[in-house]
Amino acid sequence: MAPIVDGLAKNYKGKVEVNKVNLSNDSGPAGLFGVNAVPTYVFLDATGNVIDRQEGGNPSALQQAFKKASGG
Amino acid sequence: MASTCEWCGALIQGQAQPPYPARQIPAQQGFPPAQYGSAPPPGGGTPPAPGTSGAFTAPGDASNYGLGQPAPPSGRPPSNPWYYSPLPYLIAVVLVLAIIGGVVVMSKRTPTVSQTGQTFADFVVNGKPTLVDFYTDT
Repeated sequence: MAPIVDGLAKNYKGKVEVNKVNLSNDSGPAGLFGVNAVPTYVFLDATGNVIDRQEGGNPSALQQAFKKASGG
Repeated sequence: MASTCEWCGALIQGQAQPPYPARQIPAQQGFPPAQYGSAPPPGGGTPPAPGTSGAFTAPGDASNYGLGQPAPPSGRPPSNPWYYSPLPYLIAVVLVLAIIGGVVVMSKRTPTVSQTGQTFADFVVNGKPTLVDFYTDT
Protein backbone atom coordinates (compact mmCIF):
# COMPACT_ATOMS: atom_id res chain seq x y z
CA MET A 1 0.00 0.00 0.00
CA ALA A 2 2.97 2.33 0.50
CA PRO A 3 3.39 3.10 -3.23
CA ILE A 4 -0.32 3.80 -3.52
CA VAL A 5 -0.23 6.17 -0.58
CA ASP A 6 2.82 7.90 -2.00
CA GLY A 7 1.11 8.30 -5.35
CA LEU A 8 -2.04 9.74 -3.82
CA ALA A 9 0.03 12.08 -1.64
CA LYS A 10 1.73 13.34 -4.77
CA ASN A 11 -1.57 13.85 -6.55
CA TYR A 12 -3.07 15.76 -3.62
CA LYS A 13 0.05 17.64 -2.71
CA GLY A 14 -0.75 20.96 -1.05
CA LYS A 15 -4.26 19.75 -0.19
CA VAL A 16 -3.71 16.67 1.92
CA GLU A 17 -0.62 15.99 3.95
CA VAL A 18 0.60 12.55 4.92
CA ASN A 19 1.96 11.78 8.37
CA LYS A 20 3.50 8.33 8.57
CA VAL A 21 3.65 6.89 12.05
CA ASN A 22 5.81 3.85 12.71
CA LEU A 23 4.21 1.98 15.59
CA SER A 24 7.29 -0.18 15.96
CA ASN A 25 9.11 2.82 17.38
CA ASP A 26 6.31 4.33 19.42
CA SER A 27 3.06 2.57 20.23
CA GLY A 28 1.62 5.56 22.06
CA PRO A 29 -0.31 6.90 19.05
CA ALA A 30 -1.90 3.47 18.60
CA GLY A 31 -3.59 3.84 21.94
CA LEU A 32 -4.61 7.39 21.17
CA PHE A 33 -6.21 6.48 17.85
CA GLY A 34 -7.36 3.03 18.91
CA VAL A 35 -5.31 1.28 16.27
CA ASN A 36 -5.59 -2.48 16.52
CA ALA A 37 -4.27 -3.46 13.10
CA VAL A 38 -1.99 -2.19 10.39
CA PRO A 39 -2.26 -0.66 7.99
CA THR A 40 -4.69 1.84 9.47
CA TYR A 41 -5.41 5.18 7.85
CA VAL A 42 -6.94 8.02 9.81
CA PHE A 43 -7.85 11.22 8.03
CA LEU A 44 -7.84 14.37 10.13
CA ASP A 45 -9.16 17.77 9.15
CA ALA A 46 -7.09 20.88 9.69
CA THR A 47 -8.15 21.14 13.32
CA GLY A 48 -7.49 17.52 14.21
CA ASN A 49 -10.97 16.05 13.98
CA VAL A 50 -11.25 12.56 12.55
CA ILE A 51 -13.10 12.69 9.24
CA ASP A 52 -12.41 9.19 7.98
CA ARG A 53 -10.83 5.98 9.06
CA GLN A 54 -9.85 2.84 7.21
CA GLU A 55 -8.25 -0.41 8.21
CA GLY A 56 -6.55 -2.66 5.68
CA GLY A 57 -5.47 -2.00 2.15
CA ASN A 58 -8.25 -0.76 -0.11
CA PRO A 59 -6.83 1.55 -2.78
CA SER A 60 -10.16 2.74 -4.16
CA ALA A 61 -11.51 3.53 -0.69
CA LEU A 62 -8.28 5.33 0.12
CA GLN A 63 -8.57 7.39 -3.03
CA GLN A 64 -12.14 8.36 -2.12
CA ALA A 65 -10.96 9.36 1.33
CA PHE A 66 -8.23 11.57 -0.16
CA LYS A 67 -10.82 13.21 -2.35
CA LYS A 68 -13.15 13.76 0.60
CA ALA A 69 -10.36 15.15 2.79
CA SER A 70 -9.25 17.56 0.11
CA GLY A 71 -12.75 18.96 -0.13
CA GLY A 72 -13.13 17.83 -3.65
CA MET B 1 -26.04 -85.57 86.96
CA ALA B 2 -22.24 -85.60 86.72
CA SER B 3 -20.25 -84.58 83.72
CA THR B 4 -16.58 -84.32 82.71
CA CYS B 5 -14.53 -81.35 81.81
CA GLU B 6 -14.11 -80.93 78.11
CA TRP B 7 -10.47 -79.88 78.53
CA CYS B 8 -9.01 -82.10 81.25
CA GLY B 9 -11.51 -84.92 81.49
CA ALA B 10 -11.94 -84.48 85.25
CA LEU B 11 -15.20 -85.33 86.77
CA ILE B 12 -17.22 -82.33 87.61
CA GLN B 13 -19.20 -82.62 90.76
CA GLY B 14 -22.49 -81.04 91.26
CA GLN B 15 -25.55 -80.34 89.29
CA ALA B 16 -24.83 -79.65 85.69
CA GLN B 17 -26.84 -76.96 84.07
CA PRO B 18 -29.65 -78.59 82.19
CA PRO B 19 -29.95 -77.85 78.54
CA TYR B 20 -32.17 -75.00 77.72
CA PRO B 21 -33.80 -73.88 74.54
CA ALA B 22 -32.48 -71.00 72.54
CA ARG B 23 -33.89 -67.71 73.55
CA GLN B 24 -36.27 -66.36 71.04
CA ILE B 25 -35.76 -62.78 70.01
CA PRO B 26 -39.15 -61.29 69.35
CA ALA B 27 -39.48 -59.94 65.87
CA GLN B 28 -39.83 -56.23 65.71
CA GLN B 29 -43.28 -55.34 64.63
CA GLY B 30 -45.28 -52.21 64.15
CA PHE B 31 -44.07 -48.68 63.94
CA PRO B 32 -41.07 -47.27 65.71
CA PRO B 33 -41.73 -45.30 68.82
CA ALA B 34 -42.66 -41.70 68.38
CA GLN B 35 -39.79 -39.30 68.50
CA TYR B 36 -41.19 -35.91 67.66
CA GLY B 37 -44.62 -35.86 69.03
CA SER B 38 -47.57 -37.99 69.71
CA ALA B 39 -49.57 -38.06 66.54
CA PRO B 40 -52.36 -40.62 66.70
CA PRO B 41 -52.00 -43.76 64.65
CA PRO B 42 -53.64 -43.72 61.27
CA GLY B 43 -57.17 -44.86 61.14
CA GLY B 44 -57.93 -48.12 59.47
CA GLY B 45 -59.86 -48.54 56.32
CA THR B 46 -63.46 -49.60 56.44
CA PRO B 47 -65.25 -51.74 53.94
CA PRO B 48 -68.45 -50.53 52.34
CA ALA B 49 -71.70 -51.32 54.01
CA PRO B 50 -73.25 -54.64 52.98
CA GLY B 51 -75.55 -54.31 50.01
CA THR B 52 -74.08 -51.04 48.82
CA SER B 53 -71.69 -50.30 46.03
CA GLY B 54 -69.66 -47.84 48.00
CA ALA B 55 -65.95 -47.89 47.95
CA PHE B 56 -63.63 -48.82 50.68
CA THR B 57 -62.59 -46.04 52.92
CA ALA B 58 -58.88 -45.57 52.64
CA PRO B 59 -56.93 -45.82 55.83
CA GLY B 60 -55.16 -42.82 57.19
CA ASP B 61 -51.79 -41.88 55.94
CA ALA B 62 -49.20 -43.55 58.05
CA SER B 63 -46.23 -42.09 56.27
CA ASN B 64 -45.46 -39.71 59.08
CA TYR B 65 -46.76 -41.79 61.89
CA GLY B 66 -44.69 -41.25 64.96
CA LEU B 67 -43.23 -38.03 63.67
CA GLY B 68 -46.22 -35.82 64.15
CA GLN B 69 -47.11 -32.86 62.04
CA PRO B 70 -44.34 -30.33 61.43
CA ALA B 71 -44.80 -27.33 63.58
CA PRO B 72 -45.98 -24.28 61.64
CA PRO B 73 -43.65 -21.29 61.69
CA SER B 74 -44.49 -19.20 64.64
CA GLY B 75 -43.54 -15.75 65.73
CA ARG B 76 -42.41 -12.91 63.52
CA PRO B 77 -41.08 -13.69 60.06
CA PRO B 78 -37.40 -13.02 59.49
CA SER B 79 -36.39 -9.39 59.25
CA ASN B 80 -34.50 -9.96 56.00
CA PRO B 81 -35.73 -7.31 53.53
CA TRP B 82 -35.31 -9.77 50.65
CA TYR B 83 -38.17 -11.65 52.21
CA TYR B 84 -40.70 -8.89 51.67
CA SER B 85 -39.99 -6.87 48.54
CA PRO B 86 -38.55 -7.31 45.04
CA LEU B 87 -36.90 -3.92 45.41
CA PRO B 88 -33.54 -5.30 46.53
CA TYR B 89 -33.55 -7.60 43.52
CA LEU B 90 -34.27 -4.69 41.22
CA ILE B 91 -31.49 -2.65 42.80
CA ALA B 92 -29.08 -5.54 42.36
CA VAL B 93 -30.04 -5.94 38.69
CA VAL B 94 -29.64 -2.22 38.05
CA LEU B 95 -26.24 -2.20 39.70
CA VAL B 96 -25.05 -5.16 37.65
CA LEU B 97 -26.28 -3.57 34.43
CA ALA B 98 -24.62 -0.29 35.33
CA ILE B 99 -21.31 -2.02 35.97
CA ILE B 100 -21.51 -3.94 32.69
CA GLY B 101 -22.44 -0.80 30.79
CA GLY B 102 -19.58 1.11 32.34
CA VAL B 103 -17.10 -1.56 31.39
CA VAL B 104 -18.38 -1.62 27.80
CA VAL B 105 -18.28 2.16 27.47
CA MET B 106 -14.80 2.41 28.93
CA SER B 107 -13.52 -0.33 26.66
CA LYS B 108 -14.86 1.38 23.53
CA ARG B 109 -13.96 4.88 24.49
CA THR B 110 -10.99 6.25 22.61
CA PRO B 111 -8.82 8.56 24.62
CA THR B 112 -8.40 12.04 23.18
CA VAL B 113 -5.01 12.48 24.82
CA SER B 114 -2.32 9.83 24.76
CA GLN B 115 -0.19 8.88 27.72
CA THR B 116 2.54 11.11 26.32
CA GLY B 117 0.17 14.07 26.12
CA GLN B 118 -0.33 13.92 22.37
CA THR B 119 -3.66 14.83 20.83
CA PHE B 120 -5.14 14.33 17.39
CA ALA B 121 -4.22 17.88 16.48
CA ASP B 122 -0.55 17.08 17.05
CA PHE B 123 -0.67 14.79 14.02
CA VAL B 124 -1.94 17.48 11.68
CA VAL B 125 0.80 18.60 9.28
CA ASN B 126 1.07 22.19 8.10
CA GLY B 127 -2.46 22.98 9.26
CA LYS B 128 -3.94 20.98 6.41
CA PRO B 129 -6.07 17.84 6.24
CA THR B 130 -3.74 15.02 7.05
CA LEU B 131 -3.68 11.32 6.46
CA VAL B 132 -2.11 9.56 9.42
CA ASP B 133 -0.64 6.35 8.07
CA PHE B 134 0.02 3.82 10.81
CA TYR B 135 2.43 1.07 9.92
CA THR B 136 5.00 -1.23 11.44
CA ASP B 137 8.37 -2.47 10.28
CA THR B 138 7.24 -6.08 10.08
